Amino acid sequence: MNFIRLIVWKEFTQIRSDPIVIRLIIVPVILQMFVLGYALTTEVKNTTLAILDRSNTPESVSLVQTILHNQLFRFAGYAESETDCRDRLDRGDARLALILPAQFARDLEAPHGAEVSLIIDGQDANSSTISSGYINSIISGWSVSYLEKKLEAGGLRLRNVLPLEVHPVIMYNPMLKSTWYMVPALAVVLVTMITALLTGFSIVKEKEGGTLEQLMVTPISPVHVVLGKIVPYVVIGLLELSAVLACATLWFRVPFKGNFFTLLLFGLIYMTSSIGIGILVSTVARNAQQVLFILWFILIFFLFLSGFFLALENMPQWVQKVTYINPLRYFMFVLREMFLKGSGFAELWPQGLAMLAIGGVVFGASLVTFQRKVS
Amino acid sequence: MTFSIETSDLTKKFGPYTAVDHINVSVKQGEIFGFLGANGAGKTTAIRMLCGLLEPTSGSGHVAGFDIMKETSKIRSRIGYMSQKFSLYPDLVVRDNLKLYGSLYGLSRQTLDQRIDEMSAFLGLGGLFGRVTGALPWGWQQRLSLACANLHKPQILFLDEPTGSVDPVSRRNFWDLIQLLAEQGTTIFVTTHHMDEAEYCHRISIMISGTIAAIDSPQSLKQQYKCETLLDAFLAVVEGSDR
Amino acid sequence: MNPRIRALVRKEVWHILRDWQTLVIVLAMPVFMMFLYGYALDVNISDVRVMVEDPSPSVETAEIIRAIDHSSLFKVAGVVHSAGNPDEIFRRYHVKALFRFSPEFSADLRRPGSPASVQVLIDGSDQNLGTVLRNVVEPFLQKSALEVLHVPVPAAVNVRQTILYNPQQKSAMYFVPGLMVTILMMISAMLTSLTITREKESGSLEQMLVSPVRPAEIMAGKIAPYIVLAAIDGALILLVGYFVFGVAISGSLLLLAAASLIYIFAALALGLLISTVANKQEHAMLIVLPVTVLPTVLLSGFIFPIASLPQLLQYVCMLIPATYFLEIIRGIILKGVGLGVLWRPMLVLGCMGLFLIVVSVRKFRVKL
Repeated sequence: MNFIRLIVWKEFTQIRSDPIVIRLIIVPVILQMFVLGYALTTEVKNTTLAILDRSNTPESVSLVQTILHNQLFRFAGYAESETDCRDRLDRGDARLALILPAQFARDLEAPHGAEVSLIIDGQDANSSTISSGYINSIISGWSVSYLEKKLEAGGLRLRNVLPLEVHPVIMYNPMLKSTWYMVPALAVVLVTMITALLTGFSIVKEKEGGTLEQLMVTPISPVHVVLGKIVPYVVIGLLELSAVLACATLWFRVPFKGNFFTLLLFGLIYMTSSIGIGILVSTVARNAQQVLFILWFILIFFLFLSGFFLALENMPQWVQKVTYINPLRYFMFVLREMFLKGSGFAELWPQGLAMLAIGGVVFGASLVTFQRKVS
Repeated sequence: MTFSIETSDLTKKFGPYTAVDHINVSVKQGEIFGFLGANGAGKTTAIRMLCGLLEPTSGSGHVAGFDIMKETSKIRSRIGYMSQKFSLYPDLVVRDNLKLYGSLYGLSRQTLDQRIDEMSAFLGLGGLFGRVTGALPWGWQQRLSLACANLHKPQILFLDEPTGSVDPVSRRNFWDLIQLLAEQGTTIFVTTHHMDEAEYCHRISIMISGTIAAIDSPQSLKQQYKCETLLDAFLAVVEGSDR
Repeated sequence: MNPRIRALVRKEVWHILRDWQTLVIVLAMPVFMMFLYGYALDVNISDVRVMVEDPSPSVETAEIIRAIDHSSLFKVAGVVHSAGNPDEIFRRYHVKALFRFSPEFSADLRRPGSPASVQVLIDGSDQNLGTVLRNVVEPFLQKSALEVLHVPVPAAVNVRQTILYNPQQKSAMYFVPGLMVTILMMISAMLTSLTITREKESGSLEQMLVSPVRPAEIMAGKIAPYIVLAAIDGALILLVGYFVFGVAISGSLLLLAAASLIYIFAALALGLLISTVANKQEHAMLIVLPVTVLPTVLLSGFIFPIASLPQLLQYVCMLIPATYFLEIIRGIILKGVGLGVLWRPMLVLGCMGLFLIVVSVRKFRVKL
């Protein structure tokens, strides 16, 4: 036990002796929080839209105005022809082009309704789906109110024609703010990166410098060395978690409905995986550069399969099965639920258990590999 | 008589390549034993096996009376090791490096403080306690490395090329210290490729391509090969093995 | 070529080959990521888990519930008599929406003049999903209700969509350009900064300075192999993109190569710059990530459209070379446009590259 305390003392002394590293741990992280907090948006705003209105009737103008009134679109000019529309998309001046035919107003009266054309820049399938979806819903909303006015003119009320009154209520994120969803997830990214990188790096440095060998000649055992080494990084990880929490609630105004200590506990459980991965990587890497590259590779892979950018439910079945061994997936889920819904142990214990299992395996494997590599 | 270090056909193979080939060494308590050989002859591999850092492929060895394959933990507390690279923590100050290694060998607070004072006096490290280790010149780092290896008064000191890139004056001083330690009873097992340093040893062995080509006192070797200097004797041995 | 430079290049290549772990990752990573993107990341929202609260089950509610379940968008995970505290439902069952029929639903539905009421509670945590659901539930439910009543659905405006550049909405079309931008930056900037810093640490850089080699030659020798490595990776991405995912380059390959080269130089210069400020490898490592890779991935328009970002951040995006390179690549690969349209981003990229090279070379010489 004494040995572990000794190594912990050594690690803290070393960290303290290098003020630059401390600054580099804190400053970029804070910077990233701010930048990423705003950049990581799944909203699609300010989509440039060009309009070709061949009809030029009160109806067509009304539709155009309704669309442009919406903050989600930015008006990119009136086009002269369909070719002009395509040119604008080619040049990147517009991402969408809406064409209303000359017979628009007439068709509205007809039973089959009117048809408009939407030309979409499909480079980014994700955004184009979303923005075209927005336009579709705006247009259908306009159609409903047009229908309403028509019926009212005829003495009927729409409410009598449409059978339902639908009341959608948004829970947990009433303003549908992207930051509320992404910022808690950021904690996972930042904590993982710092704990895995720094742990892996500290071990590799001792390998490179020969001090690891020196330690092995003394009575201390490899397990002591590892356990002692990780203590400062666990502490740093928990501090980071708290810092993200503070930043999220104070700056981004994301509500945190959960319990702080439960959060720290889940963080601790999660770190068995992230630190374990750091140790594992350090056993194969020969220097800092390799640690960085290998970890980066693994992290990106796990990140994309964690529900960070894209919801896991939308992925093919076999991919979802693979994500069951991804610790990031669980921690991300836990964080989001804790923040927005105030869930606690009662609801999240399966995730906690999964993380514990994965972490146990990873950490155990890392200790075994470390011991083997050292002797 | 029990030897401090004793090996019997100690061998280490890395795949098809044999680094250490059936070597037999016996070193007495308090002896300064020089382990000579060209670079790549297998010296570092041999020393690492004796320290318990590497597992032998075959053969046996005993250090401080304990089996190097089965009782490495008992060996560790009784030996000190100084590697080629000095292996100190460059970002720690001198005092912290000493505290660390002393504690690793289980020295209590009082004993530790006492030994640190003793060692610093012995090695002339006083006044350097607050300096950052990495900033010290090589000569001082060398002494610090020796101090760290010797704090717990080990029975045997393993020194792997301890005078690497140090200036001749410091080297001379270093060997004075080694001899003092040997007189006090510490067995010194040192590898080097400086022939002039080999003169300080009680006995030396010459390792060529993993085997020991000669093992004797410096005087005897010079007599045997009818050479003035140990360097010539060394070259003679090497030539002899080439035939 | 200058024999000294040739020797330096040889040494660097030997180093790279010896460090096979990094090499494997550098070559395998893009391919890996392409497969990851190509097969795993699909944006279709479907089978969203929902629950239904139906206090007075009837033929009408049953039909509507069936319609909900049958739709590709929803999947009904369960029907309850009474939801109690809806919070519990969301927390425990992890559903994304709760449909709540009113107790007199079927009566209201059959009676003309009084609309039946349905409340839909939507989990807005995932803003994207929440928005889609919110926009979709009303028209969907109205349509289902009308079908239950066997009333024709009134139509007003129909939208006919034409998708350009990527008609099959293949995600490969979208990430091949993005990957080129990211991977090239990673190799050029990360590797360069780390290798140089490592030599600084080990002292071998100092060693070289004492020799007759000039700083410019040191730089050239160091950088040359990484240009080749980056080019290999770029080619790899394009090849896999073409043969596995069918992404063909609609525009000029020559233009693509030229732009890539400029970008690689800019990235290398960035790596060089970082290496002049970092003295230890860990410093370089902690600087290079937030300064090069993260902005490239997040602020270039690769994953998140720039227009969606707050105005302040959009200005930052303008300062990133990756933003322009991405525009150029997408233009060439997806749109098939040429210099006529792309001259502006090419010019900006060229100027940025030049600026970075000049600054980094000057700093490199001074620091040494």
